[in-house]
Amino acid sequence: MPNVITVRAGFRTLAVLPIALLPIFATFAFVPAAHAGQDANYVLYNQHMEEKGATEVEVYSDYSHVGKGEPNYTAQLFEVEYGVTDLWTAAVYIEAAKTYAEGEDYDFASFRFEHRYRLFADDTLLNPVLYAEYEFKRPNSRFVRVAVGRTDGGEEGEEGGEEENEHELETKLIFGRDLTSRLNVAFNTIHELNFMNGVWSFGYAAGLNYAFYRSFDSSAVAGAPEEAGENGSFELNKLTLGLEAFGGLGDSEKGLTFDAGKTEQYIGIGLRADFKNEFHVGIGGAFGLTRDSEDAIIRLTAGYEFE
Amino acid sequence: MTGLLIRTGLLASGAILAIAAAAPQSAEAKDICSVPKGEWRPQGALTQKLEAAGWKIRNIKVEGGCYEVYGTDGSGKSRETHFDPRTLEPAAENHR
Repeated sequence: MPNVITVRAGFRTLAVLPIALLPIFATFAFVPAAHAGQDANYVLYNQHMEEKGATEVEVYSDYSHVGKGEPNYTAQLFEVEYGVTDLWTAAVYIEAAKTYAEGEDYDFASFRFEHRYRLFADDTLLNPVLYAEYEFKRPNSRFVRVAVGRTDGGEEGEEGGEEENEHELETKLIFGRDLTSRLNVAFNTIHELNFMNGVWSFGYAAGLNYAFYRSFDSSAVAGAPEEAGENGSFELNKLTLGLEAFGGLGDSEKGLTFDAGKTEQYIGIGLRADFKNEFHVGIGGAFGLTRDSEDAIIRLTAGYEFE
Repeated sequence: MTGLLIRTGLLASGAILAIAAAAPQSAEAKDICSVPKGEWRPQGALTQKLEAAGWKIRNIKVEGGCYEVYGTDGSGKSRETHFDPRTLEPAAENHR
């Protein structure tokens, strides 16, 4: 298998990493920076962009209970995101995944290169953002970035055939609006082109983020320069709750559909804590609503933003 | 290739934690505001003032001896503005 990268014990460490992070989550869960794009959401993007010149590194870990007798999996996604301008954000992702089935081990699973471009700097009604991402996905790729297409299409994993690496272009039209300082609502249309078969798959994501705690609402004189840690301490800055729904809407082969019996549909909830030192952590869950959805996916995130 | 990938992933993960734990002060520009600690007014007062003026605030940091506010003003213009912590008046604007 010349094209299969066999990964050894090293990747096992990747699975252990989120567990190692748990004490940190626990320690700082109740103690939180400007968010770029996803805030506390799973799939949904909003109009917020990375600040020009800022770099964010982030690790995402998914643990899935697939259901239907299928093996569970864990997948880790490593992201480096950069604000090229205040309106243009670029990111690269590398995924490693493991399916809990015999003979499976941690393995490189996908590479992604993403660009987002916000059309207008100042507030408009819907603040449109254009999104384009190239994806190279190996058959073992499992990390849920979107749910698209339909489940009665049969284009994935044809029986008897060896699955192949896939090259895809994913585009999104992102709309978002800050209704208040605390509340953001957003809607995405998602369109994914599989270069191997020319099929477009469609999906959506819609939801909100609500910042229910902000340190800068307090009456304390927090962060005066003589105090320890100015912007450099693990002091909670913001706690954000994210709610969203996302799922498939059909494809270009069999047509668009709103039939829950032919698509994956999920509801997602997430909690994100931002600290004053630009570190953030998050925990969330996505839960399948339809027969063909995965039962549940738990996601842990940790990230840091450099200015 | 694989070994490199593993190391890169682990290093990236470790780096996030290490950097956050070490949390060096972000490189501060020259102080724009120079106000003794005892004269600082709370961030909450600035938040209230700006939100009453129609701002939508994404974040407030302390930088250059000032409060630095990220958000949009009452007219929907994207802003990144330093405010004097004593007077809560704008001290400088980073053009976005």
